[in-house]
Amino acid sequence: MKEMSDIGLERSNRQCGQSISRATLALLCFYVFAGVFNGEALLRGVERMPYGNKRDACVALMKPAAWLSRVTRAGCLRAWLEKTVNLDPPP
Amino acid sequence: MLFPTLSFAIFFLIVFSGYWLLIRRGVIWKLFILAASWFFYAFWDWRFLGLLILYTIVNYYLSLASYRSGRPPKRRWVVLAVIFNLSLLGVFKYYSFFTLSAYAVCNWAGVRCPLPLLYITLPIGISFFTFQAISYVVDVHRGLIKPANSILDFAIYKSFFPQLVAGPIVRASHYLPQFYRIMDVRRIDVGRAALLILGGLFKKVVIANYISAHVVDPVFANVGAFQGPDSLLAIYGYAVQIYCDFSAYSDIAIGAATLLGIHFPENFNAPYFATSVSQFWHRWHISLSTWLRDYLFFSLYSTRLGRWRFALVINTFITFLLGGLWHGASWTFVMWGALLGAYLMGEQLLGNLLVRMRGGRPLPDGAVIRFCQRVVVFNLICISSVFFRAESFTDGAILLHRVFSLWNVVTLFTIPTVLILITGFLSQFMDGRRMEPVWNWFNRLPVVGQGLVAAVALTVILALGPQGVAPFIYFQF
Repeated sequence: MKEMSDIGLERSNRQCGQSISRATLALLCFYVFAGVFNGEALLRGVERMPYGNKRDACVALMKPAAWLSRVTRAGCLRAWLEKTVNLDPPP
Repeated sequence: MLFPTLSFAIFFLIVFSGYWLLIRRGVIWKLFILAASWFFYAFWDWRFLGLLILYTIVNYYLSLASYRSGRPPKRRWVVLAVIFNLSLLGVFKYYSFFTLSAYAVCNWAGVRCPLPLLYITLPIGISFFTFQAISYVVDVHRGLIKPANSILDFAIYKSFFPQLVAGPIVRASHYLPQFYRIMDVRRIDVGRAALLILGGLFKKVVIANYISAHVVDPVFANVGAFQGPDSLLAIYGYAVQIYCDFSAYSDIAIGAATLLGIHFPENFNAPYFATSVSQFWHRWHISLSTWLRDYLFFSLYSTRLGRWRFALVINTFITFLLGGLWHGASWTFVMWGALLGAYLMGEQLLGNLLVRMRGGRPLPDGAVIRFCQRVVVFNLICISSVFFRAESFTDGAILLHRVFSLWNVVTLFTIPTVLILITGFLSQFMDGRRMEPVWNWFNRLPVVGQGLVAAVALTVILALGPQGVAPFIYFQF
């Protein structure tokens, strides 16, 4: 059985990509933007969890993101997408 | 802990930060990864963490005993390790299956079955970490690798969270050298990792979940209720769903590992574009098919079976039969494996016959022929997949029969469904090196741009996907 050439290994050997500090910054930016875009929806989601410590922790964590999402109106993107591309419920 | 959840997002942020902050702290860093991986596993069901630890201790010391038993090493240690691993797998995964089968046979024969009926919870990922453990002890026995430097290193390899519960089955010969050189990692391929993770989320959250809820589950739950077109749609839908589901898990695992400076081998490479069934197995769940080849198929050759006249054909069939059983403790999975084994046997025999008929000349090749081969192979795989999904033989047979029944009423064909099916099928183009220009483009973006693009993509995925995420199909294995 002939194994295919592995692009991931090739790129790893070629040291493709970026420094660890730059990657960490990119990841942090991603989390901030993701929180801002989805904060309100995420808060709605965690509020539906069963009552308990886990729910309380999630709600406390999501409240700042939801506030930021509301203030910056960044949550509109997701709300608009959900409204426009409304995939019908299953039969 | 499921990958496409908020819990995992928070977990990964903490692990990623701690991982790179502690990278120069030696043992503390190792303990941190191990604790994170064990937490990841225990999050699902903490009771089975003990099982994972037992696997780790027993396999480490048995492989060490094998390594220290001289050259060539004594077989007893590897045999003991394989028996231990397969016994645990047998008890947890197959006990109920074999007991129920024994009950059925005893009922048929009119005798009383002496086996007690127990319902045992299946520890998540047991099939994967059993195979991983076997590959480790066999590789040490064969002299392909040296044992891990310490039990801590082995425990990290065994429990490394991205691949722990649903693969890919990463071998020690691939993982440990990277692990020991982790301090040399200077660059992370964020572009590839991000695209793999986002692509995986798209395939799982949007495509697989949609197809499952709108097409596959309704039809397979009531196979006799739908006519030909809907039954056919469900069969094709399941083929797309299982590809999107499982390749999604592999992609996210590979992406997460890449962010932690570890390379995992590719697990899928556009399998439904294969022109033969054997090629399909070079492209589908590659880490499993190469495992079956190296540790089962070749091992069968070293036994008396290898000397038989039709050893190649028979060993192929046995390998696929056991491969089917590995996927699930049910006769439908055995049927699935048997069908795939039969396809491969048929392909080998037909290929030989055609070459002989052409006087030894190779078979003709061309775009049209390759297209026809792809269509045939895809449909054969779809037929076998029916038994992978069906609750019983009868359900599978009824569904296949319904395809040729009445074609009057169509209920499941909607524009979104067809579009999502096509998108799911075409998502195979994301495998392999086809997306390399996009990865490079992403890597060249400024840091804020990378975060923004990835966050917008995630928002689109979450907005398109249904509420809640179903577990990955391969979790049950």
